[in-house]
Amino acid sequence: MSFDLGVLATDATEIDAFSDMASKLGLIGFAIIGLHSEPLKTITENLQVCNRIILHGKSINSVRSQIDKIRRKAMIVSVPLRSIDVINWAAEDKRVDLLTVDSTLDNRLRDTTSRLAAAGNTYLEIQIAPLLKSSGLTRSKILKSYRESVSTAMDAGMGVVLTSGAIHPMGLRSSVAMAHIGILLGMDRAYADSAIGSLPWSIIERNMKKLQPGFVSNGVEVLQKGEEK
Amino acid sequence: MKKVRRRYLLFKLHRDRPVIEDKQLSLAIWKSLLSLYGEIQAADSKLYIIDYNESTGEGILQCTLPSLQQVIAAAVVIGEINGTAVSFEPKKTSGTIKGLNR
Repeated sequence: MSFDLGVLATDATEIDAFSDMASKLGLIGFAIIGLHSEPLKTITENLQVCNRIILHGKSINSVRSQIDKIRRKAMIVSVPLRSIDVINWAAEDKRVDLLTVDSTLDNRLRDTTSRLAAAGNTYLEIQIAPLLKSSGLTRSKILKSYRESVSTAMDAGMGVVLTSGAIHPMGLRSSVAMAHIGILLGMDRAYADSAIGSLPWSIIERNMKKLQPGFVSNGVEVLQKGEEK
Repeated sequence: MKKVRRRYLLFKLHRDRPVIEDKQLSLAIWKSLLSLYGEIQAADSKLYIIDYNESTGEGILQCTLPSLQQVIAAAVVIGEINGTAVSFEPKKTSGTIKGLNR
């Protein structure tokens, strides 16, 4: 059971091609940026697609204003690992699901940030696409960045989620392939399996509850509305 | 010389249109293994593709038991072969070829 939370195709027309490939690889679903309909869409009996939004704001105010508008429309909300102010705010905010390691930048995940994220149930996202496109020294630098981030997150008790970051259906990988990439990044086999299976699915389940109309906060929901007098 | 135990891996190579030949696939895995783990590990892997169907993309490769994880990791991070986007899917591992077909 594997759910890919990081398909980066921006065109909803590509959903069919991704769905075909995901079915062949045995995935049970994926999150895509270009989906603008409902948060979770059932494609076939065994495959679900959910929408994802990446918040690119440079300041806390910018990201905060964006998240107020989109949280109830998106199943997955992620923030790239860039400005330290924004990332520390995002790590604590329960509306943010994922902090994404950016392979093109030198920003590393700090111990303090990962401890905040562990307390706020925010997960670290590692996208494998840059590893597939690169080789030699470039790949070595990406591996260094990813391995350090994974190690910091695991030491602090922050969950790590492996995603494809695919912009093309061939960028998807099966659960076994992803688990081996997880081991390459310093995880043990059991942790790597959870990073592509149980952890992504637990985020989806948590957010499905939050997106229900009666949800107020964790443990509090409207069961029945009284009549107005 | 101590006998090294072998492992066999059943795999499927998903690809865009053009067919990938077994030599091209073998070379791509060797290069990736060499780049990720170095010359000693690549040599010790004794990697060899013993069966490969170019039209379906299914095949069996052989390597040593200690290098199995490294060979799979090297294969799955291959993004393209000769300009063709590919996705390597490990399906099953076994100590014997017969075991793969069970």
